[in-house]
Amino acid sequence: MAELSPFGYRPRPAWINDCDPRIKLAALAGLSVCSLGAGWLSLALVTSVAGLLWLGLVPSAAVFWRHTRFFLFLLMVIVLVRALLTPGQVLLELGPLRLTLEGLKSGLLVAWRLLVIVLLGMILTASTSSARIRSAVAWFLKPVPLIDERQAATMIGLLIRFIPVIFRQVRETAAAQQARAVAASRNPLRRAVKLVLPVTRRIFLTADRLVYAMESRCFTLERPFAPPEGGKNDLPLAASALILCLVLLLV
Amino acid sequence: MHFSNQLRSMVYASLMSALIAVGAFVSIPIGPVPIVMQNLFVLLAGLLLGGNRAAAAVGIYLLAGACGLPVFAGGTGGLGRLLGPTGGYLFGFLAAAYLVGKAAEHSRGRLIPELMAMVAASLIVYLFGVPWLKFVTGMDWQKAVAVGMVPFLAGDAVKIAAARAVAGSLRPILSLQPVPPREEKVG
Amino acid sequence: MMPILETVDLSHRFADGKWGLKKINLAVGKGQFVVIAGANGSGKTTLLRHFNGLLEPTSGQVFVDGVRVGKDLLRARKTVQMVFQDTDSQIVGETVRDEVAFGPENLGLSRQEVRLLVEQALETTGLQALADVSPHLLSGGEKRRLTIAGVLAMRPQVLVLDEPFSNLDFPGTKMVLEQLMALHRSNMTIVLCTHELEKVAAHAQRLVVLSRGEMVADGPVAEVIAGIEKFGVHPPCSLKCKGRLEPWLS
Ligand SMILES: Nc1ncnc2c1ncn2[C@@H]1O[C@H](COP(=O)(O)OP(=O)(O)OP(=O)(O)O)[C@@H](O)[C@H]1O
Ligand SMILES: [Mg+2]
Repeated sequence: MAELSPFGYRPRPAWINDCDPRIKLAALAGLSVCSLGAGWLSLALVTSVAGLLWLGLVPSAAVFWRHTRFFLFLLMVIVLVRALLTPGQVLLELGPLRLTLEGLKSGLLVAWRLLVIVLLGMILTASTSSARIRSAVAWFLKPVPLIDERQAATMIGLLIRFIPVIFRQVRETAAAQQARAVAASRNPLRRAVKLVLPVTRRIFLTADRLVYAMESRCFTLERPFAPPEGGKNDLPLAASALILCLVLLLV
Repeated sequence: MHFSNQLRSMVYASLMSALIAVGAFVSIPIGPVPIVMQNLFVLLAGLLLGGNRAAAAVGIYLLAGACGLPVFAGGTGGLGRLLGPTGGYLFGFLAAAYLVGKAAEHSRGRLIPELMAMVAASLIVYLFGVPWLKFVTGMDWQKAVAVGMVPFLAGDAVKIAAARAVAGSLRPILSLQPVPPREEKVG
Repeated sequence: MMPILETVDLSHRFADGKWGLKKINLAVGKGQFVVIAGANGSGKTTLLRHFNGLLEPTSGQVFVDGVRVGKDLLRARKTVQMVFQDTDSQIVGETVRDEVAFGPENLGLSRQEVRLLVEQALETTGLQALADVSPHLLSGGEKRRLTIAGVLAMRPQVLVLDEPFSNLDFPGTKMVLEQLMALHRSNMTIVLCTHELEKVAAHAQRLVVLSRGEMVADGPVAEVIAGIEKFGVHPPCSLKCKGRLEPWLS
């Protein structure tokens, strides 16, 4: 997972780290949904709380920037498009384009709501090991019909396991092809196949070996599943999330 | 007697999930819009795994991402990414994978039905993606289609052809047939 | 004494029609240290995979502790544990401790039992200090020892290793070999396959040679090793230079 989240989870002595992952997930979901309709004031409040939490976990705004710049770019597009397309009081005129106050406001509001949700998501990721997230997901999936929660949790574990392996193989394949000048080919179909085929072929062989290894060690879905554990800050976390939800809904 | 097909199909589906996740970061720079490999892997999941398992592969990807595991393009973000401007496409993948998978189960490797299913599936992705993009950004339909669909169509054609070619040479080495041997619960 | 592991006329044919193994008859007694040698593609891995039912014989039988493998797969797998050739693709856990716990957890043991087995396996392999590290961050030798820890935690009676020295540097090889010698002294049955005889020849008791899916030699190391070159296996240097086998570990 190194490529995906260098900030990732690390056991840090943070207030939120050993809270029950179920409460964290529920808080994330609740706050995300509530933020979708929130106004300026409540967003400002939640952002400052979340910002403080983030800085307490990963004392760097640069890391946040690095991991969200793609999304921030999308948000900027939202602001711009809304500012240009919404009719209202014109702030700025550039040829045929009209930037309106109403548009700017609505764009900023929508972007801010999404930004808050992303920030909350990153706090969860930075404060919770993937194993604990997995166990919480399994706990929430238990009552859901048609989904076997043990299978889902195992698959999430495997997904996380395969990602760095695939990244490595993509890099190796791309480098090997650079050397053989395949990448210089003009034909996009050829290039796509030449990149994807060797990677998938090798990764499926790896998967086969993994199946053998798991089978050899008697894999079964009945294996005991570490239940999500709570910490001493569970109650304060749940209470503050609840209060923030109410603020988001009411203010 | 020996092979637990369940384990194998679970591992393969997780593998396709991971490929879909990585696919968002892998692109071939051609023309103004680089061809991102992610939806190629969505189609491939359908072709190789069949409907239920392909849907499980995409579902696990979305579930992991929604819970804040860093599988989405451009870092993490959890639910925010599913609700963000490009969230519709991600949900579209679920339908697309299922559709291609079901078609692959019934077509038994014939070219034309599989191609048709992939074309339909690629359009379905936009059916989810474009309205959501319009809703979140507040663009009108014309603009939403112009930025959220038209630039990618040529790439889609390439990906459909590539997915089919790749599936063709992978199928013989996979120990799973596209048709699942028995009904099973999927995660 | 009944052999702990036995194959009778074991043949295996792949789906593509190619024969991987032909009529293998091999019996391994308790506590033996057997080396299976053979060139690339001679069928070593294919043979090992029959020992705990990962592959099914096309014809012939495999017995573990007197019981046919296909009859009681779980028992065979509890008895015979396997370390595979490629370390990276057999590690399942997210931390060293998780990885070692994977097997015992599958056996349905209680938490305390699992914890005890894990601690013991980590201690035997000297990995306690790394218990909470992600396996990806380990060195090649540490990874190999981790895979050994993972199977030792299942308390097998037979330890099967496929090319355990590939990709290891000198200290890595030394660590793994010392580990195996210690296990052998504590009466573990070890079946090890390799094409680098150099490292193990002097430590094993018995050498089996495969060539193109057939068993072409079987006997005490010193006897078999003399004619091994014609099967595509490089004889140890010490034999060539000094005319006798020298232990690789001094
Ligand atoms: N699933 C398969 N289908 C067809 N042929 C196979 C399959 N697996 C292995 N083979 C072939 O069977 C032969 C024996 O393979 P095996 O992996 O057992 O050799 P090995 O002795 O372990 O070689 P190495 O030293 O390279 O590991 C090889 O020629 C290989 O190509
Ligand atoms: Mg081998």
